Amino acid sequence: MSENPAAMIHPTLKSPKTLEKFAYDNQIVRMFLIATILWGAVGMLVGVIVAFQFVLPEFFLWDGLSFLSFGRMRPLHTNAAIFAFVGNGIYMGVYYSLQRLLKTRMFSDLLGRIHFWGWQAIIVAAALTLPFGITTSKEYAELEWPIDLMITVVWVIFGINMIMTILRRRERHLYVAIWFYIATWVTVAVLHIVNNLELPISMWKSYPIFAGVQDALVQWWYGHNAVAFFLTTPYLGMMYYFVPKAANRPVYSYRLSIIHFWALIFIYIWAGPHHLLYTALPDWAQSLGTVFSIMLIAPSWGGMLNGLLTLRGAWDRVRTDPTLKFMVVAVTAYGMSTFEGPMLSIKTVNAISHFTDWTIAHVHVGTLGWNGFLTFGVLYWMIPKMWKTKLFSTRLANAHFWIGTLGIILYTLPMYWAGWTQGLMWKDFDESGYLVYPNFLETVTQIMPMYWMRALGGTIYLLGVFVMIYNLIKTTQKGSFMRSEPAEAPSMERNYEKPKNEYWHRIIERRPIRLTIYATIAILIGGVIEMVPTFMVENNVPTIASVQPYTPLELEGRDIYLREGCYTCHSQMIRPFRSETERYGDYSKAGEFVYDHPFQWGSKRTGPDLAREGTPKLKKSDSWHFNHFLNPRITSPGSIMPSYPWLIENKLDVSLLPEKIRAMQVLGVPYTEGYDQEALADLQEQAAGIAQSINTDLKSSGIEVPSDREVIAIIAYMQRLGTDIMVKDTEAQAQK
Amino acid sequence: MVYEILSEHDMCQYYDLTDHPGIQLKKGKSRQRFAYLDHPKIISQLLDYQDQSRSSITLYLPQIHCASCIWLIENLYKLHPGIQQTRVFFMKKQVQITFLQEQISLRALVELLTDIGYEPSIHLQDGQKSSGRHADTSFYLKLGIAGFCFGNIMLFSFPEYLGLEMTGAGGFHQFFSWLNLVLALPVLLYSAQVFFRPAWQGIRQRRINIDVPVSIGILALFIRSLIEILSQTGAGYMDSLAGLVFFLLIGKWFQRKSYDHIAFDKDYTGYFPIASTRVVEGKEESVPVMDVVQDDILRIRSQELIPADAVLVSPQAAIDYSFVTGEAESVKKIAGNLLYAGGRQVGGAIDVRVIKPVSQSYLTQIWDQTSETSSQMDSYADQLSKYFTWIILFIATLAGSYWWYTASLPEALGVFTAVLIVACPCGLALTSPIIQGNTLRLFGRQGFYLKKAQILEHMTRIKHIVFDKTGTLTSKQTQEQAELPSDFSPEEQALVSALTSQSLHPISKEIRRMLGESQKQVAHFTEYKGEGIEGWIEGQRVLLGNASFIASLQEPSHAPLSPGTYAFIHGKIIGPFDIRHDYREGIGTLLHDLQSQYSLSLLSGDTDREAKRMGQLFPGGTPLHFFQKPHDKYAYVQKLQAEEQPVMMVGDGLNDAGALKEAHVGIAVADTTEAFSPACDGILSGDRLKHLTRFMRWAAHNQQLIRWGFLISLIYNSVGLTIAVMGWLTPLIAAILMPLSSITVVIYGMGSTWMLGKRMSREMIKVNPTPYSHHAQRELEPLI
Amino acid sequence: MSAIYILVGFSLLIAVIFLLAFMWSVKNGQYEDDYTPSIRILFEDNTHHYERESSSNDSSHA
Repeated sequence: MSENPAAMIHPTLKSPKTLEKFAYDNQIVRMFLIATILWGAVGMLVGVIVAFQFVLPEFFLWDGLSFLSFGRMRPLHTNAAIFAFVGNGIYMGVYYSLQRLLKTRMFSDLLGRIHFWGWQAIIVAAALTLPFGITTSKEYAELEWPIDLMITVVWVIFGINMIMTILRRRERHLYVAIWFYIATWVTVAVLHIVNNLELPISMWKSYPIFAGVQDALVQWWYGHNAVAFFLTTPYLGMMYYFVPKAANRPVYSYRLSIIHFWALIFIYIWAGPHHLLYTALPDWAQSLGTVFSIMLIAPSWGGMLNGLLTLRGAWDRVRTDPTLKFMVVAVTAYGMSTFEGPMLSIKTVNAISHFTDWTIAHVHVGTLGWNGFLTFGVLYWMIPKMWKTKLFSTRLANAHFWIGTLGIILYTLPMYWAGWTQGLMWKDFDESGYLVYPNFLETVTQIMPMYWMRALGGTIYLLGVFVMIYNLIKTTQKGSFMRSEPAEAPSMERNYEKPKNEYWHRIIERRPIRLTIYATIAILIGGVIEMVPTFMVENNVPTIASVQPYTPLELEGRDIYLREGCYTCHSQMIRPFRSETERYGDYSKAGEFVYDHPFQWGSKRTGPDLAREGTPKLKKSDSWHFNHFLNPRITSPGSIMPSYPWLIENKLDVSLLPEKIRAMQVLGVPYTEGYDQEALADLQEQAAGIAQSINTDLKSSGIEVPSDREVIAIIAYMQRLGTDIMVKDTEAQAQK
Repeated sequence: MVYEILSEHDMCQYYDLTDHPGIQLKKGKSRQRFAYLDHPKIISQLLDYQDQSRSSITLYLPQIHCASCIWLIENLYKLHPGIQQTRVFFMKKQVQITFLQEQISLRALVELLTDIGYEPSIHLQDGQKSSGRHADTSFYLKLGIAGFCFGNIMLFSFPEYLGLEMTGAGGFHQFFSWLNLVLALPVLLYSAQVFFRPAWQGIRQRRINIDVPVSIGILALFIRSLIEILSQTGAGYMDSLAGLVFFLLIGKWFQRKSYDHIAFDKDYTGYFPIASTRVVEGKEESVPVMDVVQDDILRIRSQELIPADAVLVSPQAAIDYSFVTGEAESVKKIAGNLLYAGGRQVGGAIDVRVIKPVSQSYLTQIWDQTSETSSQMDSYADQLSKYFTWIILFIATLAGSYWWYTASLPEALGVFTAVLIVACPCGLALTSPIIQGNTLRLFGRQGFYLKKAQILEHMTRIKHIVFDKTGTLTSKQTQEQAELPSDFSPEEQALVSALTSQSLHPISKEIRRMLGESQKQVAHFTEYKGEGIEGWIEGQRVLLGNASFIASLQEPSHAPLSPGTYAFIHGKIIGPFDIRHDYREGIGTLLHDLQSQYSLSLLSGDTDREAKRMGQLFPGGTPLHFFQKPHDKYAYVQKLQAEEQPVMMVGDGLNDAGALKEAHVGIAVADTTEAFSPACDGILSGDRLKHLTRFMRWAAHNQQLIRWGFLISLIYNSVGLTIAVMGWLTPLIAAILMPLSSITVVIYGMGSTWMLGKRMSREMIKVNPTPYSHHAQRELEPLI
Repeated sequence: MSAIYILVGFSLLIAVIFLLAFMWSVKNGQYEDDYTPSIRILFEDNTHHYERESSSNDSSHA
């Protein structure tokens, strides 16, 4: 019966060379997994702290402590959440799924380890610099240039490790998830570099090469795509791997997933400008952002539906299996925020939402819902698998699910409410045409209850995370971890090789049309390459004659403004609405910002806009500012701004002044030749003046402030803001 | 058995994957039938690729049906070290296997597959591989590039749309329109080929198809835009160009999505064994049929096809020609008789001497006679575009000349091109591909596979439906049924039953099934091939056989017997045993429903012994024709159509091939989708035949949808035309109007067909709650 | 607005990279089969005692 296949496997026949045995590297996955959980907890903890700083500005734990002040903690929170929590989450997902999808171990264990420790080093560096005010003040790109370089290096290492793994694969087909990973890598690399084109003047200080409008455009092109390609595409890749695995059923439509990917890739990159609606950005660029953002709904929802429909017929399991529960909510959250995003980029909606807590709610639906819950789902699925055991307690996991969901609801709903309320209050006119709430502070105190609820919601969400951590630790304790997991697969057949011994030109000759395409692409690339230098130097923003460079003191003051992260609560961009021109004065012009390295338009108004703080309409005395910095509650009872006593204690460090001036000159700011030497004198003179005015005002209260304090500089900057086109401004008043 | 093979290799996961992997082992059949796979010539014909150590082959495994199949087959390398890699293409039910020919021969491989329940169906077709892949590849490239350029061009056109203050903002105008020009080139030169080629062919054959106006539109767009950009008089319409091409390609894409897993257009060799057994000096050897030459002696085993016209060498044979003629009863032949190719030997092996090589045989003749192209009529879209194109050109010239008078030549040209641009019937071109494409898919899910979209249109024009009997109204698979003759004592029954127990002939089996087992001993059993059987039971001579056989035992005076099976027990003739085919369920109602709208007729290659039942089955007055040879059927259909009665022929096997091909719509009924069906317009799964009325109705509904779609796009066109004639067309308007019309049509098409699909499944659920098993797992497949 | 040129440039660059990737994937036959891969990822690679020497009994055969 030689036909019996069982008999055919002759015991003496050694297994063929082509069947290769190898092992998946679970160790590296575990390392990233632990980092994800750890940094996740940290990032969310910081988030909870800043949430409480809204409602308890004078709480003893942080009041008056520079490194814990909101302006410095908020960047720490965003960076920790995005790059530490989600970042490690991505690597965890990629290192786990990539190996299994390609039937091969990661290309290099060493590169993997370097990648891991490098990334953790970056996070630690961030945690050590941001609280001390070392920041570029560009949102989600606050880290200073040395860390940017580290990021670049580590990212490249990650890329090499991933690409080489793909080249060494044993499975010919690249599953759609892998495409999402590749897209993530390529795009983030380019974004990171472009947005961090900066001119270092010292180890911990640099200026971006772009100014004002241009800087803003670059920043939000980056900002949007960071969201798109760091928070979205890699997680979509993970969705396409882990949801089918967890549900043990193929994705609803694989074809759809492929279309989804290419559509998303070709559209996403363009949507950036929608963050700058009603700003000094050219209208057409704004509208462009809007349209492409709206077009994004299609591919995004394609992905969401594909994810949800994968669970068709498995809803009974969703009810019982916490993993699937988390994933379902995550995908739904993705759908919600990808629908809300385009809505927010419609001008009329944006007019209300922008600068309010609506934005905050929007991004947290994304991070807490989409990124957070998908990560949790993956953890609950992956850990039992890698530790070869069952989850310690499904009930705890379910508990976590409900706690987390409650947290999200308690967080986002109040924020939406707060956003709408405040947005409408800002625009509220009485019948006689006056602002109903001329005092910005009223619109803040109004929404304090929502801030309380938000803090509560965040805390609850964090609580859930701790429940998870306990549950997962228990799970790992009863399981046994397999550092590297044996697997086997036939080596990949190369069936699509080009015919041998055929010269390249012959190939091209055979394909004239394809040749034209390659030519086109070549032209495009060439064009890009020659374009860049051509336009680097030339700057054709309409300049306004009256706009002058900052004085040395103002420049130093501005750097303090950056250091303290004032942009996290104060915008410097008056939009062309009557409500805003009434409140703040003439709307902002592109030309006003030509010397702003970096731009300080901000994205949120927890406090009022400061673009015209120095104009007569808003001007306050130097002493008012002094008191306000000493403790905002002195001048504005009920204010939730932190007090800045250290500005008064610290001497202004002018050691870098000459470098700063020179850097500005390099960037095209017209300081007279050799001004870097005269700058200090000017600075001291102006400082003395301000100190004097303060001291005369405050003689009664016996306060005596030396002219060499930081507060003097920042006050100088405050008084300067918007004064350049005051002339024009006053004319505008006259016309009324 | 399967389980054991698997468990020995720790592959039991197979059983965890799905509850019912549902593959069953073919019981150890004669492995001789794979002998031909040792023949180097055949091997080289079947392999995709071979080098000194490795071979790679693509096989078609009809049994593939679930996730477990994929898993099992892709783990084949665990079953045999000689197998390097296997890759399943689920939708095509194909598997690509790479193996080391030193360690496992192709034959051994196929046998291994057969053992685990996946017997490949290998046919000469597999020899000539179609290179469909490359066509696809380039299509997807075209689509992708068009999409890419479309997206980017739109981006760079935005400033233009919004007419925004770009002055001062540094020559964005020029910069962007140049980028657009660059990006538009690949679209024109590469992606748009899809429309230029057929358009050009059409013009060369003096036929205007839908691609002609489309191409005109595209060219007008490009040339005008080119001039505008070069002369810096405007931004051009590159966005509209790219968008147009992109959307049209999407339409084509819907059209292209075909059923990889259905075998259409088998030529006659598809029915033939690849190899036959030749006897040389008493030794058997396997030889490819194509190499069979005159005077070869072939050994035809039971149930094997006779590959070429031959003369019987063995004393006698029983040839079943049902495959060619539909005649169910086997014909008795004796040495020296001529055997036509396509006959199937029943009973023991026979030797035959070939008189004509395969290519000129009887079957081939049938085929050639049929293969002249059947009445091919254009689709609605093409018909429409005939007039459409001329009207547009007319309007364009008219408007142009008007503007020439009133205004200047440049404006006139502007309007002229504008008309051509907006009139470009993108909606028109999109409607039917999308709607029909989806409907085809929906039909497929219900077990009715159409070859071309046009068939749906053709179905709506049918006036007359012609049915074949054997294999169409009757199922090949279900058992035959017999009715007991009168005056048949239990004693006699026992005798006959005992006799039949010795024979494996299907009729004997059937008769025994009715009579029940009997323990009587049979002596001196003899089987007369194709005639009957004889044996002595309890000292009595008992015979069972066909009419002529039994009659021959009579003294001549006796009247000849009517066709059928008779028993003969010492002088007494019992019978006939009314052996008849079992009809597919629901046929009666089906025919009844159909007759209200269509005239029907029956063409059976079989004898008229079932004429009575047919009379009952078919509504009164239906012409019933028996003893129909293939060319009779062909002629019949031809005649009807000559009388302006578009015919739908519903048949099966090769004997209907002619009629199927000739008929306006030829539907082949197949009990398994992988069964080879003659060149036909559609394959209808046997268990779905009863729904034919519904399918006809749905086809009509589908045409309705298309007409509405046309209406929509025509409305858009007329709006566009007015704008163009007025000379109001700006890039912005074009860029809004054209994609808008396309998108509307796409959405309408998707939506309406989606509803049609819902309706289908609703109706189907009503009649049979269990979905068509073969496609159950794809029921929820989305339309894209 | 020199920045716009640069952004357009880099965006195009990325887009072109992806276009090339797309062309590769199509030519490479990545999308020849757009169903099986979604099933394939569900298979677990379990390889324990694959080495086990196999003895066969034919009784079950035929």
